[in-house]
Amino acid sequence: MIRRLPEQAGEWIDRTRPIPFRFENRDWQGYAGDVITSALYANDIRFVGRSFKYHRPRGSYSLADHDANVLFTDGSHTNIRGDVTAVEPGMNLYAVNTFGGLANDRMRFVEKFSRCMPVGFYYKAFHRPSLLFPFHEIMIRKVAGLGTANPSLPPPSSPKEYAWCDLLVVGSGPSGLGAALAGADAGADVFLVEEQPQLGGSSLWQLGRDESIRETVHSLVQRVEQHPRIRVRPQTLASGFYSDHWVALVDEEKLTKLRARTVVFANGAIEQPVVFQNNDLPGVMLASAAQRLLRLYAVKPFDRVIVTTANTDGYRAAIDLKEAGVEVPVVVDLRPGGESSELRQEAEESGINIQSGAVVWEALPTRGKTGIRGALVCPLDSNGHPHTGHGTAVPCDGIALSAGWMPSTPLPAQAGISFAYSRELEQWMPDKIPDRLFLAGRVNGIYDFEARHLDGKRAGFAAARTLGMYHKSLPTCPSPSKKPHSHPYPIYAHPGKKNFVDFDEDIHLADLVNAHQEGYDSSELLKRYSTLGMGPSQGKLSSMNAVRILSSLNGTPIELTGTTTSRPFYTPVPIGHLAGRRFHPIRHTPMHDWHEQHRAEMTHAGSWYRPEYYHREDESREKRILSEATAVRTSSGIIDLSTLGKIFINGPDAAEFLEHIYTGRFKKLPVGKQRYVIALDESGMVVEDGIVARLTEDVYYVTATSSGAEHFYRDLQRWQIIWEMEVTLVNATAQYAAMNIAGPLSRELLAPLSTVDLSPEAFPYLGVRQGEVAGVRALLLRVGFVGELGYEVHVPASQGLHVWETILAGGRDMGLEPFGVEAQRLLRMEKGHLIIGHDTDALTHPQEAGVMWTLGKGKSFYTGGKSAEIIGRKPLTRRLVGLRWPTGYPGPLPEECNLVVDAKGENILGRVTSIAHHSTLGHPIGMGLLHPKITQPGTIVHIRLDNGAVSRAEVASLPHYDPKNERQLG
Amino acid sequence: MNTDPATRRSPVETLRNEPHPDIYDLPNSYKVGLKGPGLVTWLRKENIAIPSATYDMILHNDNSLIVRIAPDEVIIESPDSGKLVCHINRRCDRADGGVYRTEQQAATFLLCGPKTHIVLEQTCGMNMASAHAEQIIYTRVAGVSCGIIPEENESGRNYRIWVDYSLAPSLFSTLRDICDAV
Repeated sequence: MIRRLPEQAGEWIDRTRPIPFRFENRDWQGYAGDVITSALYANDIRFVGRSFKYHRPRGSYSLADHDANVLFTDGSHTNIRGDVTAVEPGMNLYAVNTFGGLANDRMRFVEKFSRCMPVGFYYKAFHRPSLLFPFHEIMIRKVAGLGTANPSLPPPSSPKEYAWCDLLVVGSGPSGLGAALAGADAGADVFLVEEQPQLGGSSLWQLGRDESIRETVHSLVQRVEQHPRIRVRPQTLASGFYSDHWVALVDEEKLTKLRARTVVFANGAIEQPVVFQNNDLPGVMLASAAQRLLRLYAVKPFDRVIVTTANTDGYRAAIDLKEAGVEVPVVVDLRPGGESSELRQEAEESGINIQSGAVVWEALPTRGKTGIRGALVCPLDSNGHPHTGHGTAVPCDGIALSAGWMPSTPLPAQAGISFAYSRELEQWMPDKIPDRLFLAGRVNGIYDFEARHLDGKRAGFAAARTLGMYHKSLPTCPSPSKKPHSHPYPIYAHPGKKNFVDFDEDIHLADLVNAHQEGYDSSELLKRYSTLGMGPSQGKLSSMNAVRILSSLNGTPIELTGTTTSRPFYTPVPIGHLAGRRFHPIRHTPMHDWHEQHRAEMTHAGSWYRPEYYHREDESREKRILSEATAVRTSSGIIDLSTLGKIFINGPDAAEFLEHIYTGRFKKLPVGKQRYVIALDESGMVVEDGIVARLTEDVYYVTATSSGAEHFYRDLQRWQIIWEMEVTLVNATAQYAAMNIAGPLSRELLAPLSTVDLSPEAFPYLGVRQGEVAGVRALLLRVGFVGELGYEVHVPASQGLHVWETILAGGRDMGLEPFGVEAQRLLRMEKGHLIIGHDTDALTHPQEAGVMWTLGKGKSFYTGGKSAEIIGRKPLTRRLVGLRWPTGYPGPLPEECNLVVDAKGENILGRVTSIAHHSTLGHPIGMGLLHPKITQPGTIVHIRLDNGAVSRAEVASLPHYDPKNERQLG
Repeated sequence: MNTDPATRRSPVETLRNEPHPDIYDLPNSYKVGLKGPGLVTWLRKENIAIPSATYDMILHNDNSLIVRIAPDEVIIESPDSGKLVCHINRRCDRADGGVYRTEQQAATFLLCGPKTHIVLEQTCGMNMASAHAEQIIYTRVAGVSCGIIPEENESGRNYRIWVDYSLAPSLFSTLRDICDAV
């Protein structure tokens, strides 16, 4: 660690804990507390990455994750951010975006062709010949993008957290600390977030040489950390602001959704670069980055540095560097008059030469451009243009830039705060601030330490006042700085065209000039065409200079040029953070565990899990389904129907309500009877079916489809409110377990277990009875969905398993078997019963579905009735019919949704809605929605299969099975 | 209604083989609901107190919870003996004066211990720490709709969670896993 300085006050590293790690196949060592970049720099590794487009060598620029120069991969994770990621033992890091390693990157030749890749070249090239476009696409995809995701890694399980507070303070500099303490002292529950691992903000490195400031910060931090009403979140970024003060906080582990009643933005300002030739090479960095290396990590950034500045901060940085043993031959001040503060005198007294009204026009690269060997310093003329003929080459290994600051406005802007450009301060200043939002510190143009702290306190108390917690008068708002801390135009053209504005996307000054000439003359258009500000750092170092350039090109002031819209997220966020933990609630029936224990193959049915079929040794899926169906036809079977929607409709208006909802009539439905029903939507399409059973004079029990029940219940609630009927609705779907015992032996096996008389006379088809089954109070419904004698048994959910097991035990000797949803689908298809949403779609009306018999004659109103009447007057365009294939049909069979076409295969005449390749009838059967001209039984239709072959099927009348209904009436 | 414990099964019976320190299933709580425009009159007639506001709850003298979840609807949960629930079942078996008995089979879990707030903060968008005790909050926890009743006791705050019988296994296993992870 040859660049490590002796131990100093305020450093973040722990010298007792060395950390070994590898970078680009070599071993290095850092200390605990180092970030990757500082650990590399301590070992004199300044060339740490390559740029996105031209693969130019890059080094640390901001040391604050405000650039994309220092992104690494460890083989598993990619785009590890070197500026903010702590170095850890055993890390094995490589730079991203290289082919063959950092030093020998095979793509470094691209820079030689940079003139062939002007701004927007990808919009103009690669289109002709079009045959080559796929090749170009593959090549571009291969070389573009930063980092490679490792798909073999298991998805990270990142918790997502919710939090709440009275006051959120973003940033922990003197303003943030002041705001947090003021708010908390007034009684607010405060959340303080800071992106760095330690509190204190920029004062830790920028003002670190002032012992009194260090002590003040230390004292404030201690008070904050010990305050019972302040929750501190270091290494956390407030990265997005959404409506109702919902702020996205991102840390290494997770995303926190914080809901803050009030917010103080004290997130400081971002130092901005100067645009000159080769301003991107390793060795050129922001002065604040150099100070971070010095103060936080005790690393000597350079041996000999030129400081380019336009404010007091540059002088402070120069003195810091000088005191750390760095040779500072000259401070180049862009301002004609230079600096007037005491710091200038202090710099001069320490032997630093000051050259005012001058600029570094070009950084002189070393061989291979992996560093710099000097800088060409030119005086500026009265118009601020460099006298390039009067330049002086000054040897150095570093250039530190301090030409201005951009307040960190994106997050406040997302919150709805608007900003106006101040010519006096050359920065954006808050203009309109919505209620319950406050700003403090540099964003208010306040740069002095004491004033920032006071401004923070003012903002904290103001926030507490809006919360009703502070009733005294507010401290006076400190005045903004009297002079600008930013240069109005730190941009210097150079014919070499490597004077970068946006480091992420390799966009230089000429790119923006060209884009402007092509007509992209607004901030938003220029951004999209050039991709400026669209890289990982989201324009933190480029957007301000880009606005200045655009303003100059347009000849309009910055305040009229405007900037781009800031949108979340302000910083890159891992996708896994956004996903969070995966919550996929699955509904289980009360018999779920039994099904799993009995080897059921479970399938999703809406939000439920249902048994598809039950496995048996050496039997295929198809054979099992057919076997389960055959058991129902020959003896009996039992299926879990707990997923059915179950709704009670009670009250004096219940019958009237039902007649409004369904197509049928219910006022005369006797107690103890049920009927099949369908419901239409307002456009007359079939949307639900089920049964309505009358339990008492004013209590009806309704079933609905498993997947549609919740939506249907919401519809019922809506109609109840609109129609103002006296009904009480109860969604009892999950309160009851339900099962259907079907088959010729079902009565015989159920009778001994039930207190209800099951004889055909006492309990006929479509009857409903209440009694006990297996000692449990139950509702019994005689149904025929699968075309056999059958009883649905509905019991309280917690007793469902008991009843299920008791019935199975009782029916074992009679061959009772459980059957799954696939066997049920087959059986109902044989019986010609449709499934809503399967045999119908969103445009199927009752006439097409063949359920006109459910429409009550002469009803004055039901939902969708008028529409159905209008549709009924139009010619029918399709109808649901049966399909069959001969026994032993040798040809391929279709799948559901295969199209029915005419003999020439030119016109579509319908589609298959249901298909069973094997049935208890001994031949394949199906159902389909077909054009009326081909719905006559016996018609041969042609079905186009997935592979283009054609299957010939015969139209059959429905039902396929037991057309006289003798089985279910039995 | 049959409240014979021998015929009843908890929806999470197979998930709670080993006791967990942070989340408990309370399988022996019995619930019943009453709904309808005649609710208040009927309860008064039966001498059963009713919470004055929606979402409020009161404790009956047999330790049953009476929670008003809508102006015209209550849910009553009785511990082990199910005394009040049995009384309601006997008295309000059929529609009577505009009040209807509703089957209530929701599972009851108790979330307690030092991890409680961390678990809720990672699964629920409501600020439970500041929620009033003795009120039910209908919200979503880990993607599951449920009712939560904060309960204060000497050791801190517990949360009684009422969740749909069919979603109980999903919620129980998710909360248990998060309790283990945090």
